[in-house]
Amino acid sequence: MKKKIELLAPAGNLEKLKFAFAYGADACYIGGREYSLRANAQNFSLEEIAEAVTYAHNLGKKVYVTVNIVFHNEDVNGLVDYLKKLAEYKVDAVIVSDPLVIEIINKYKMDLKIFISTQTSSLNYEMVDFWKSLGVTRVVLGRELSKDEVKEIIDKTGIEVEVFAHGAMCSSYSGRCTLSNYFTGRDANRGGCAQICRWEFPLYDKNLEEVISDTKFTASSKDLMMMDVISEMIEIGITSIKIEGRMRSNYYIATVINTYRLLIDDYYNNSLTEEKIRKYRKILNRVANREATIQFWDKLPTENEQYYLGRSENSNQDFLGIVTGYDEQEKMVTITERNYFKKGDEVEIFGPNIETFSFTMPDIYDADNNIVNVARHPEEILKFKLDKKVYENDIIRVKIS
Amino acid sequence: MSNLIVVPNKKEEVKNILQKDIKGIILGIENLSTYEACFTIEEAIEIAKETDKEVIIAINKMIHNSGLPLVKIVLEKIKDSKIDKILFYDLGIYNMAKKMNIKKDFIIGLEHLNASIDSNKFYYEKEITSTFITSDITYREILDIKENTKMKVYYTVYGYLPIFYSRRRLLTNYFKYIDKEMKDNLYYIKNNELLYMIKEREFGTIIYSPLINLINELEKISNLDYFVIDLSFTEDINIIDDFLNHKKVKDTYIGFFDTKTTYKVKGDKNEKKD
Repeated sequence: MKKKIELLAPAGNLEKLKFAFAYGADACYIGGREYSLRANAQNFSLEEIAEAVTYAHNLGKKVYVTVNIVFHNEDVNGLVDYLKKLAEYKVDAVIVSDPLVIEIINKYKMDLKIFISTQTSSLNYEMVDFWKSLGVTRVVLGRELSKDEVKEIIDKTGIEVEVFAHGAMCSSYSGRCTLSNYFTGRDANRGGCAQICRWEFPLYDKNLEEVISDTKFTASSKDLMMMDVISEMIEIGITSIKIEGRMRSNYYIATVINTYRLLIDDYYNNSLTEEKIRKYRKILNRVANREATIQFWDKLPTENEQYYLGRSENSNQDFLGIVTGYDEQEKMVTITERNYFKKGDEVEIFGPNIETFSFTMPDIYDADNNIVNVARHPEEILKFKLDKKVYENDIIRVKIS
Repeated sequence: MSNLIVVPNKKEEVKNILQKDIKGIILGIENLSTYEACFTIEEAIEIAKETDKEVIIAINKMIHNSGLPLVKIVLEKIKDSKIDKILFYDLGIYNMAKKMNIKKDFIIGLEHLNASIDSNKFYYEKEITSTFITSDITYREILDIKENTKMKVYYTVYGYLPIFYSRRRLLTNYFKYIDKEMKDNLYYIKNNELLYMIKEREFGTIIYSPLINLINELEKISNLDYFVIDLSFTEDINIIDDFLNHKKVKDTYIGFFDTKTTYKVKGDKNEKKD
């Protein structure tokens, strides 16, 4: 039987990594404080990387570390020692875009698997074959590939491929964009991308006459959501599906990873029904702050895959709180509040160890056991009675399913 | 002979360009190049036959699987031709050429993705002996690369640089969305009073930088091997003469020639402390 497809989650810090694993990720990709393309994410210190790897390995899971900036001369200092540390910590792979990293790993015979970053825009089987010839074991393919193109690469190279399944898209081929450099001085290929492709601009014709419209020009793309083709992704032999978003919230990570975990498991258990797909789609649509859709998998994107609605993004209010404890004798749940809710609201709880269930919010108490019945202070400790046992880090949200 | 290499603006100008005191010419290959003027491989071979100047073919489009058979045909055809060098973006082209035992010089034109001494050393070890160096590092960084590697360095001194390349048809999509006729495949956006050209073609959409002109800076980079003048989107080939004569010009745009980019937001907890 073929190996089960890997569900690969982003983790911007240790807490997010723990959430991702708890909610079903098989592996997490993380960035160190240096050499990673999300320069402004919190990222991991070397000690935290070591802790993350130990944590993951104890669960039988994996950690991949991004070392995927495009190096300038000044960036190379310290890289050898950094990579040696990663090898010492037994990270499961490094994700690289600049071949100088490969050269160092090979030169020093470091025990590190090498994955090629999507930043290289690896789009064809000859390029993938080139990486393979350098000892690379996995290539994260460009997001512009169709199903047939991905399949042909797998069939012709036999290498592990990783494909993006969910999250934000670059509008440009990755690595071939320096709009951020030119418009803001921030280096896109060293982790400083200012997302200029999401900006809006008046458009001018050859005579510099403005194209008059209420909607300004933008290159902005809708987000990616591949849940509807997850079966195809598994069947053509993709090794790993990747969720984008090292800077996303715990709630986002938990929800998206949990949903893809269920999708994948349902597929392998032959229990993926239309009804479940509808439910999962609803959950993913609710957690997103932008519209999401399939992009290049089955066609070239049209205007329907572009995002012309401006920079306004929905702030998600569904996330009501995180379970911090459950008193089995008193049947009392303790939570940390995130968003407003009140007694009588229809809510649900989901988590890695429970089936999602819904209920009507009963009386709400504060930490001193006073009835408050309205939760209006984020981070406040609150309690309510619940017969069903729940666990630390389960999540309470508005009823969706 | 100067060290100028020219990318022609149109087919009809090739003869005139080759009559100037230049080192050579870069010819984009039809369906495989992003350059504005493209040539069939037969045309390129014919041009190479008729000149004693260096002829480089450019395969610098993003290549998907479907483009590889054409690459193979082109490589096969240049094997015994007078074409001197192959400028490529996609490492798959190089991989294929090595398998086919193509004995031509390779110029890696990875734009933004090849920006350090060590990366260039890596490629040199792979028998890629020239680099079309990125324009988004400073000239001092480029000189360091030249001084610390054996690479022959090509560098754009004049032209519009591609700074964004998408497989999407961004102009078509936009005009459909606003329900207006798209009258051309070339438009502009503005930032800080600078114009950025957007050009849509069958393979996608490219946004170009403002016109880079380093004519006043040539002395600083005289150690570099080749200066590339890219005439795409320009009408006047006499700019070549201006470069040959080192003519000084006022108020040119020089991009990142002497300006570093940053990549940590100022004040951010992860900001690099140099």
